[in-house]
Amino acid sequence: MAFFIVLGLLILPAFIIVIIQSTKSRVGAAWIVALVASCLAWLVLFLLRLFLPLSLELLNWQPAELFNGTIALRLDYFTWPFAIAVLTLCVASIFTETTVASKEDSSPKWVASLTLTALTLVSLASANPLTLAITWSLIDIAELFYRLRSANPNHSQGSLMRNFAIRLLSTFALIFATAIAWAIQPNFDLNQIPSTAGIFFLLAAGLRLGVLPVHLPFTKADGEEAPITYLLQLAPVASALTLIAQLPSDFLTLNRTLFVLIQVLSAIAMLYASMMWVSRKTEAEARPYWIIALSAFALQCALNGEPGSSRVWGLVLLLSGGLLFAFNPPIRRIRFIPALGLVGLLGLPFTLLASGWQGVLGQSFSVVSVVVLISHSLLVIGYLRYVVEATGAVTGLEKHARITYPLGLIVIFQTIVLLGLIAWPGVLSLGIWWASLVSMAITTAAIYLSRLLGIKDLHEDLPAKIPFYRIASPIIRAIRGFFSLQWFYSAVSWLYQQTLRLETFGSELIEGDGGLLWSLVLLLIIMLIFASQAGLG
Amino acid sequence: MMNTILIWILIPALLSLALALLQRFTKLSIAVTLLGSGFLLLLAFLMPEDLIIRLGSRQFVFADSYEVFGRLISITKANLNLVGGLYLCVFIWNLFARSLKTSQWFNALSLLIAALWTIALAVQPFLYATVIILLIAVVSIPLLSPRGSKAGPGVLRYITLQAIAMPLVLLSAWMLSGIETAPSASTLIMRAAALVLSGFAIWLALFPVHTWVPMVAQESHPWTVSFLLVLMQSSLTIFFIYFLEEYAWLRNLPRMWEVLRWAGIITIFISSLLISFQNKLRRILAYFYLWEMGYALLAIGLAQEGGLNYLQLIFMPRILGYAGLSFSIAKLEQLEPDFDGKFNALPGFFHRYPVISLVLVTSLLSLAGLPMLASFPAKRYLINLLPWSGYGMETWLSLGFGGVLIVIFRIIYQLVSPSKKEIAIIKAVSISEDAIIIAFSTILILLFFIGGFFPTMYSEMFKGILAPFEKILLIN
Repeated sequence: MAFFIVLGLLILPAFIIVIIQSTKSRVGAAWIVALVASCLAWLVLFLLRLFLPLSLELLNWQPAELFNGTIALRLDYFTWPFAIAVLTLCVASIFTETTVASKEDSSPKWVASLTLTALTLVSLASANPLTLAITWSLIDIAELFYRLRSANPNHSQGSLMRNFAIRLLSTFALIFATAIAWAIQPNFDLNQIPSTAGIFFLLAAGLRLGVLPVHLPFTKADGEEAPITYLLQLAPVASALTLIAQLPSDFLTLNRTLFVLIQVLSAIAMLYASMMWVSRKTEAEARPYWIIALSAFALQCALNGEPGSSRVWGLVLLLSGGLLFAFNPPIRRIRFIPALGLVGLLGLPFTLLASGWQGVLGQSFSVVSVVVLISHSLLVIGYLRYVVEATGAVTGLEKHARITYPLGLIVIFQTIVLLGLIAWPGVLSLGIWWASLVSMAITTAAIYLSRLLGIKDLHEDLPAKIPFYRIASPIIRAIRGFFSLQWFYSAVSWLYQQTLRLETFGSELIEGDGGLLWSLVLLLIIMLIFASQAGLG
Repeated sequence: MMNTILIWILIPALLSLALALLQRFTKLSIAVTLLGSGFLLLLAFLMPEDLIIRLGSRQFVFADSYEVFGRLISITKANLNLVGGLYLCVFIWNLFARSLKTSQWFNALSLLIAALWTIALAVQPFLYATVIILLIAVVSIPLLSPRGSKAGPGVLRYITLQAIAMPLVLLSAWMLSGIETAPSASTLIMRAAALVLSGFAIWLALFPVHTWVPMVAQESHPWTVSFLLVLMQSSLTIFFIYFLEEYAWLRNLPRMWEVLRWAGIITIFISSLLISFQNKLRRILAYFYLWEMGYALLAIGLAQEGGLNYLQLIFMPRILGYAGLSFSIAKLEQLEPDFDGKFNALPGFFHRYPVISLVLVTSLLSLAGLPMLASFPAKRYLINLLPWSGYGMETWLSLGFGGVLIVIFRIIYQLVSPSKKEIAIIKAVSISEDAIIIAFSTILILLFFIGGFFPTMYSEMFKGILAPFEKILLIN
């Protein structure tokens, strides 16, 4: 019931803001409503930590023998930390919004933030695949229409549609994964996913996260006027991360080949995304790679039989990422605040990420472990780079914004610290202490090397400073081209075009003058095949 | 004493005759059709089990059969759910038939066609229904080729195939009359089975005798085509179950149910593959008909696992899906005289006609089985009924979703792409969506969501349809 209070505190203010703004534009009042409501929701959700696990049945489809399904929510140690993280981002986004000086009314953004957060919370708390599939669809449709509404009608919406298509495919992948599991155990909860079906759930989550196969979640729709909030980018991936966290721990032990294949694909995605993260021109451009890289870390945990550990990587994705992305405009004087996000990212003992090393490195040290450590250090380097490059000197902030803006950032940081202490029993641990040290050593070496080479701007100076860059450049491009899987998508497109030609020829033949006879002849052939194959004759 | 035959067959037939005379009085014609079909559908759904309506101290007892020329026509309470569904379609489609500029005969003939389908489902011996089905095809011609327009090749093919199917089914039944007890593998039974299955394949427009459906959809008015298709699909699937129920030799053929399941899966896959290559909106309607037919066959094939329950559940979502899809296509064609129905003419429509675009997209997504929309519960449970133990049916079914999703993404992409015309024109035209369009669209979208979240509501509507099929249900 208390969870409904949280949802109500998000949905009702959204309605109130719409009403306020429809009569007379009172942006200040709308902002206060959004802020107070989201802060209250945040506090209530924090209090719910004391009462976990919580279960709530929303709808029971009747008759039971026909439908055998319920729409239900469950808040436990797997879902609650993600819920807190998403709500923190919502609170922070409303706090930091005060720095945006725009003639346009910002209240639709707050309404969208509150509504999307509420939908994401419901999705995160989904107790079973039926609820999860419904909430995924709901979020995707809501996001599509929000983005279309804010998009410029004179621009193409290719990336928007690609993103929507991938998300929808992941929902259908979830439905099929559910069907496979259903054959083993009907009407199961997400924490009871049968081991043999686990891989299909992992694929559905991987598809949604952009990891399996690698594809980019978009940063903003083509021609979208206003930059979209980081909340809109980060929140939709959260529910896929909770799904990974709840996978059975032994789901790939039976099929070694499949395990190796997925692990390699995931490692490629991790390394590729980390390299892209560190080398993009701007932080906004690099964001999708941050999501892919850390999602790949979460996937690795599941592959290593420790899906529970994936939670911390997911939380780092949301919170450390959120802290950096919320740092907009990047003001030089306070850039130490986003730098605090490294507390979550470095993985030092007794911090949030410490408990995640075991999951991502697995039981034995292997090539994948090396990839993991390199990718992690690349993420840290990239993070440092974007913090250091924040050299803006915004002076015209309003008085209240000088308080609310840093406060929004601090809210995220303190959530990182709090979750490191209380997210679930056992979160505060030493972890694999040497892993973070190795990663830090690689990071330090890389920074030292770049100083030695005189690289100040990574994006500008790197090509000039690397020895034999001209020779290496096409190789790098080829590797990037291979990892981005563009060749695969081109091949699929080519195949589609060829099949289209065949279909056009077939349609002309079968719908032409002699088509009726062709149809009947084909029917006769099919009947003969059926008769012989199915034992009808 | 009143009679169900009188009410659901004779009255609509007489009304149809009267409407044929009143066709020039558009408003009157619409009003009579809506009142008539509205009354018939309400009475069908509200009729008590014992067919006795009590109003205070008065009782109206309804007989459920009537003999005509030695043939028995019987409409029991179990039939009434489907009959109500047929008149529900008549009501919905007549709401906009005239405003969408369909044939002026639509009001009259829609009632007549519903009455004819009712006879087809009610006549005993039920083999006589085959003749009625051909008659329905003939009656449909004025709707598909309105006065002044030349009958296209699609309509001709439709009539030809219906005429071919009828003797195939009749022959098979006559061949085997009185030999119910023959061994199931006898040559005679095999031949009869091949004939009857071929006949039904043609009726149900399965691959490769499906070609008339996209052809007719391309030539004729989408609102009319969707009306004929939805009635045909709902009635023919039930009629096919009658066959399986009545003929033990057919039902007990070795691997018969597996053959039906495969037929369903192949139909789903092929329709999905073909739909992914289409570039005209009207043809999308046709291929969705085939896709839905695949699901209907799959549900029948899974009868032993309880699949028929989902056949009844999918009726209402299908009606809504076809209505939404054809309404949006017809309305776009009406509002944009230059619109040729091709996908590449869709850019800018989302911003010019947001509500119609929304209905179009929601209908497509609902028919595809997107969670939270009307078709999802039935499709989800049908998918779950498959064994999922190998890579046969399940793989083809999964691939079957691919094509449908591709075409939906292509349509949405085109809808939201920028218009080639001037923005000024866009703004000028954007007022074309009137209150009626908005109201109907809102209701329709709401019904899609209701079906997705509360499937019980729609399953209750057609609950009794399966009651007559005791022999099939006993297989479970």
